[in-house]
Amino acid sequence: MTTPATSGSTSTVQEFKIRVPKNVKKKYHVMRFNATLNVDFAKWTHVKMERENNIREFKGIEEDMPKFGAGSEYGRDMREEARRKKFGIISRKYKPEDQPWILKVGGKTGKKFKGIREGGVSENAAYYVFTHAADGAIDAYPLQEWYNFQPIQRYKALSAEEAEQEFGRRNKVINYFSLMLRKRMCGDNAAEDGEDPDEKKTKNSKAKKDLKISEMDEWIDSDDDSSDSEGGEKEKEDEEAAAKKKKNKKALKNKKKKKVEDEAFEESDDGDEEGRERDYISDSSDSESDHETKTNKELKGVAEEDALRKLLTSDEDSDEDQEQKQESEQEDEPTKEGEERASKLTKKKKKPDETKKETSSEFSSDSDTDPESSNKKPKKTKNGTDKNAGGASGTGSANTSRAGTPTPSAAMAAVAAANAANANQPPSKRTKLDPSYSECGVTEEAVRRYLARKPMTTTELLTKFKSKRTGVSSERLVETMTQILKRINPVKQNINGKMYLSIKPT
Amino acid sequence: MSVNALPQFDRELDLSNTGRGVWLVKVPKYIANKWDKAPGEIEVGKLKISRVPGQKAQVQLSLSEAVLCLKDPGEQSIPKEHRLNVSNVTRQSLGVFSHAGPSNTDSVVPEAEKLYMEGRIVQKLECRPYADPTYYKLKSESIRKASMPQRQVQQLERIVQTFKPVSDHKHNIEYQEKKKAEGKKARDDKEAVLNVLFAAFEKHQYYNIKDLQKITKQPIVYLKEILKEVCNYNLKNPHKNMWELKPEYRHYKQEVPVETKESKNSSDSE
Repeated sequence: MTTPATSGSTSTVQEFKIRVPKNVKKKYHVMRFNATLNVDFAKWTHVKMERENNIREFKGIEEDMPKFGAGSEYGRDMREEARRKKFGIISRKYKPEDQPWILKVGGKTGKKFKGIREGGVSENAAYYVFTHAADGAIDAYPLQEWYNFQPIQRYKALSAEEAEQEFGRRNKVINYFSLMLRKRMCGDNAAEDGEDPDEKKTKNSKAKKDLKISEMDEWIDSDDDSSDSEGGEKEKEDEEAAAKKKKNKKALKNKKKKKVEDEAFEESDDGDEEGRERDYISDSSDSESDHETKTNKELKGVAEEDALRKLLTSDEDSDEDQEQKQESEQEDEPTKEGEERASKLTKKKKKPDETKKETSSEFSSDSDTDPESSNKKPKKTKNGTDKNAGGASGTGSANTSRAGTPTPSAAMAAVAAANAANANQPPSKRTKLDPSYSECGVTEEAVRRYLARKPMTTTELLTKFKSKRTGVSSERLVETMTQILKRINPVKQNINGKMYLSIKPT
Repeated sequence: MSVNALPQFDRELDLSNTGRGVWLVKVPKYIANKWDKAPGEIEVGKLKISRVPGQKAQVQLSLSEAVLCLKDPGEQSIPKEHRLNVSNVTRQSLGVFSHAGPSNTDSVVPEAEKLYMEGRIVQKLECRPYADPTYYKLKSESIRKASMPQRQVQQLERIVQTFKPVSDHKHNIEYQEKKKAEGKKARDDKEAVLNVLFAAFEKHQYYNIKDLQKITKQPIVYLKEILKEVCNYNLKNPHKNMWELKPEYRHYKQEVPVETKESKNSSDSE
């Protein structure tokens, strides 16, 4: 409509001549884009277009045989074709001019389109494109084909398996989140727990200063019970015992669940539980026989504590310790036997089989929450060691403390055994032991071992222990670690700006 | 058409006409047929655009007399006047491109097949005939034609003989003659046969005996004698029943490593 408009008053009529040029060799096609693609032809620069070469796909899966030279067969294609014809398969010829267009806009990084020919558009009608010729007439060119252009994805789509995997990962992300949440919660708990022991320690030390501990949790619980009744009457205790039985029966129902919960907190072996049983009995009996049992307990506590210490410090002595423990325990029995046997008999008989299975359920019935009770264990050991640490050396303190108390002959034997065990150990190590080490699971021995193996940074060292004990708060760990390192005074080297600690293996 | 003839180079799309707005016109087939036949120089029709202020523009197409007269005997005349409904292109962007070049002629050199962008379709026009008697006549004629059955019954008076027995078929005769012209396969000098064989095995590794016979033009017994000397016969499947040179005669050895290297390189680069 570029022709000058002969503007009339009412209506203007423009006339254009239409020609259909025949001499052109061009073939006209329509390219169609969806509007959502926002294709603006005017903005196109550097557009390349070519037919797609998909002869490979067209031919289908065919073994890659060399066409000539080594490995090639003469006339293979022809023979294949003949063979196919025999089966009635007549392959169509590959027509390169029938292949879709590949359109690249804007160089290498630009968009890529694939134009697929559409059928059926010009079935019942013909399409022409009208363009203005130079002389004002209209040139009409017939349109041959319609191509629908669609963008080609530049990225690779996932296969079914990969998609499945990714989908699974998606769920995992959520799990991570909840995991982190849980971890944080746990971390808080741990922090609280970390504070707890100190309070408890003081309380406990006041409440039962003389009571020595063991590594077992039940003991403590039963200790608590017994300490309550320590003041006095048998009847009360009997009542308690009866009540306990009932409780146990009740607890029996949900013990399974509890036990599962409990497992998360402590790894228990069969051996452990056996130990508990016996100890429990002895504990319950101790309330009556104040003096002697107490001393017994103390003795055993010391021995136990020694054993614990040894366990942590050196692996070599562990066997000895065990023996010693057993010894002392066995020796404990007879002393108790005399007292209150009759009254406890029923309890004894009931308890073992019950406690065997449901030590954990017992806790809960005793109004002690599990985490607390599990925390008591290290704290108690600390109590014991603190006491001993008051002396110059572990052995010395053990001796002195015992010297003051009236010791039965059996207990003496235990002391002697303990002393003998202690004598085996180098005294230097023992003196250096700080009670808190054992709490965190960080022992000087272990640190020494790590440092002697290879030089490490402090952070590396910390991670070694962190991975071992998860329950301990990191602050506490660092604290104890610094203490240990001060004592060890390792060789310091600066490598790449980091301080590496090491010990010359002696 | 061989695969290699396929033009592989990246072709630029000529964008000189990209900005041009063009019209897409849908016309009935009968007009398209006429326009197809019409020579290029003549005017095939007139486009009239009449604008009345305040109203939509009316577009009319009137075919020229020359086109109207352009008809085969017995063909119906077509209406002269058509109106064009104008509509805009919505929900899609339409472009027109053209490619010029070797249509179907198997030229040896695929002369530069050029691609042009011809413009953007700004308006769609639909050509509709006025319902006048000529158009009705045309339509009724076309309906009548369409309803006519494709096959008709015909009564035959005499037997139509479609098959006659032939003593010797044509292609048989051709083959015999060819064979005669070639004469009997004579045993050639062994050296010459070996040369031919080696030349053949240079191109391919495996040959069927029949192919070798065709290539060397030797009697099969004689050929087998020679083959047994220099070739191995494959009895197992990848190349069953085919002959290949004995390892000591092969010399595509140098060629093979080069090939494998190349393929390796290419695979590495990919």
